Amino acid sequence: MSAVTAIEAKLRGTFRYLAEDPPPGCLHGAVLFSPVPHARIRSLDISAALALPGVRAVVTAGDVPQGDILLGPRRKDRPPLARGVVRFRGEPAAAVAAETEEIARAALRLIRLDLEPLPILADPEAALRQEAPQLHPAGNLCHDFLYEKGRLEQGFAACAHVVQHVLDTPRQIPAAMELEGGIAWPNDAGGLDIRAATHSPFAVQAALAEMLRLRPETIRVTGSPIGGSYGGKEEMHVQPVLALLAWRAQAPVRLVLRRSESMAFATTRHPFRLAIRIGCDGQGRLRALQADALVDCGAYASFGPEVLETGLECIQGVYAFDAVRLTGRLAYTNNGVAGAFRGFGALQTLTGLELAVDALARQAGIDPLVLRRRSLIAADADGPLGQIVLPQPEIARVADALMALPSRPVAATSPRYLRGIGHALVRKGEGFGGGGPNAADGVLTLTAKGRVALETSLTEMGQGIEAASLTLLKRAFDLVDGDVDTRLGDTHCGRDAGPTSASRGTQMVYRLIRSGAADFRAQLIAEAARLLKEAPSALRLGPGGVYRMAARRNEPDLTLADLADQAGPIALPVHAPAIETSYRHYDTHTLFTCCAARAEVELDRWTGRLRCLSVELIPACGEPVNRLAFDGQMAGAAVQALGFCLTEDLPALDGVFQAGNLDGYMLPTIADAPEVVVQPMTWLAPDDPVGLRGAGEIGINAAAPAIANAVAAALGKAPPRLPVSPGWVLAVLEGLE
Amino acid sequence: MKITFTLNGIPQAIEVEPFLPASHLLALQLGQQSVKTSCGIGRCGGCMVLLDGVLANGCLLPAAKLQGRDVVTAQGLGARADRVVAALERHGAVQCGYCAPGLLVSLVGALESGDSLSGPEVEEMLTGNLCRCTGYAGIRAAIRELVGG
Repeated sequence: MSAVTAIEAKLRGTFRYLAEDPPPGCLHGAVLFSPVPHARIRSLDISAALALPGVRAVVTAGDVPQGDILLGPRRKDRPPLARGVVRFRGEPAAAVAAETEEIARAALRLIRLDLEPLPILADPEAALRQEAPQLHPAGNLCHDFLYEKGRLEQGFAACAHVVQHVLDTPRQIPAAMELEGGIAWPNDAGGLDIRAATHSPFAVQAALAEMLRLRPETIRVTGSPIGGSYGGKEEMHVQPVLALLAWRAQAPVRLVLRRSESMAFATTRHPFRLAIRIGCDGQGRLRALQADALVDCGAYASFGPEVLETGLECIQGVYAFDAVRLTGRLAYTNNGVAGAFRGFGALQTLTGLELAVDALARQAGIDPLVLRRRSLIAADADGPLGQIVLPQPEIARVADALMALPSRPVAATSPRYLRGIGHALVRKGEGFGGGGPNAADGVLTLTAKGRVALETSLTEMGQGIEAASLTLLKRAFDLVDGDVDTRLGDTHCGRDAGPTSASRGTQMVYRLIRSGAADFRAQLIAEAARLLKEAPSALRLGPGGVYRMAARRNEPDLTLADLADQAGPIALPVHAPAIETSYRHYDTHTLFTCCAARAEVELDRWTGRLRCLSVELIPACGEPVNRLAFDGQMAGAAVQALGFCLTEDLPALDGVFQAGNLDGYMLPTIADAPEVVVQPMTWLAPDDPVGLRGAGEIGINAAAPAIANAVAAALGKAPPRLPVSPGWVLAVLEGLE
Repeated sequence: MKITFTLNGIPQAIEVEPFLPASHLLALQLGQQSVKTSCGIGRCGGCMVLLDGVLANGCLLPAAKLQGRDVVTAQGLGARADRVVAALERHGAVQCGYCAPGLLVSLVGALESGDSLSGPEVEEMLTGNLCRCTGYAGIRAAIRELVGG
């Protein structure tokens, strides 16, 4: 399917997402979620539910074949169904498969879950107190972090100006429009087929195989296409419970959460409390940085340790400090479960850093852009934790491009309104650090229909990996629309490409195709040469098939369809190796992406309400593969950044989230969306071995601090808490803050 | 109860639970997967349909209220939507696409509402269609192309 067709199919509603095609006789699943944040399970009686006519399976922790299994994307600490204790409101305790959804829901009401309430760990500070009840065997400190460089107090002693800022960041939720769900059924291989959105089909396969005590190859995972994720569907969501239901019932089961269930159960962004102290010398050069992060992990580790490490790895931004001390603590609490979300810790820390940089510039009376420009790291500097990284000569160019943006008038349209303009200059690691699954495998094939295709387990979630693959295949093989194809997001291809995350998807596709393009072209030409009885050197690929060099024809001498027909299957396994990091103690990265942003906000002096008017972004990702898709990633990121700064939060009160649907959780609408201008910095070092950078996360990491700084510029004061509340704005205007 | 109505021009006569949300009936029993339930409370616009030519959230509509009505989903817009589909596609207004059919119904409904609306007025009519991917930039560009301004 070409990208154009897919988009029209999506608009006209003929496109099928993974949970939309239940097989005949498919059962309906429903989950009993814990109604309280923390409790011991005294008893769990499912007999009445099982006896309800139409109920085909009820599962609890006792029904898990590998009964002691703990799941998790990296650290394994989470049972598929609550075992003896519930650790957050929304934790699955039991699940039902029944002939109709009504029966399944009725059966849930017949399950007697007897809970003995336990003390609630309502915030990370409380969780880390000595007397706090322990959520996990190793205690409530899920992870911590310490990095020091240079002598901190000497560094601050050399500073002419020092500021401190404490920032609380919101519990933002990914809120993909497609809810978590899927369909699973027993297959002929003696295992299960499962169709449910994921970034990592092979990781799901491995985990479910272990949970069900099956061989991995008996489990087929289809994880693509996805109706939005942003990290929210990166780790398993309903898959374990869905697989248990289908396995227990030995029948197809469809399970799709409701929004209210999703908001309690699904992973959120990690709220950070960041305390930053930063100083510059009399010449306006940043010299010393101290930062401490206290992070709310929620009830299970998920990606928390990696989020903490990535956040603190990125907190030095693009600046060269003489002295740095970075500390972080990640605490288990009863506040849902935080996990992966676009930005991955760096969003929180870069927003804190850039707010502090502007606050410092205000105090020192220096232009914040000049302060930034004077403080940049050298192009070939070591990585932020001393690791070896690819050189980033583009940073200076991005900084210059930011300074060269034509100035915007700050005058508001009426005295009722006040405007501010803010800037940010950031970088974030891409791919995985710490020996994560950075390599990728795939297959280049000539399909039976005569299309040159890339098969890989990378997934399409709207980020445009399918369109990018098609574009890159056309380029690599001199082909046109209709000659190329993709098969994405499935374990069936047998080649693991690793997770589609950390902004790496397009980069991996690019490198996979590049790695095999010459060989696969030679393979196709060799087969064609045999069939056409020509020397391979006399043939070339072109639109529709293979051409004789000598002939000047518009039609191929051998179409790809005929080649596929006559030559049989042609396939070439392709591999993109990891770019190895040299530093394994932390989750450090080798590859960094730089971006600058400028944002403009307008605030209403009467109501304290804020509007973001514009966001300009200068992402240094090389030449975009597909400019429309690239700009789309930036615009989407800008509006998610707006949500992070101005509208979105899911506050918890004693472990209970204070919104249960999209009426209480404020996603930006089209009326809130700023004008977004994207000015790509296409230049990367000529000898850059990768050739491009991912577009997925860098936009939000630049846009959010720019928006926050625009608020700070309008008020002359950095906000202590995001999203910025109108109440705080009014208090500042009244001189109360 | 038994109800009769037309769905994308085709007469229907079916037995329904009267309070079943029309979005569920359409998506799960009548093959209209374009009517997507995301919030279930009329906030996100994923389930948008045209009811006698007027925009309605399928999730807020009890199945019984379809009696005698003319229902059109994204799957039934056909040539009415060609211009809008082309504009949205040209401007990159679709990423994951989960909100896309609801958006298409809303945009076609807005443009057909009879008034000659300005770009900002059309945008106002789309504030009930949430999109989490695109930042609305492509949608806004398509609206500009369709109505100017």
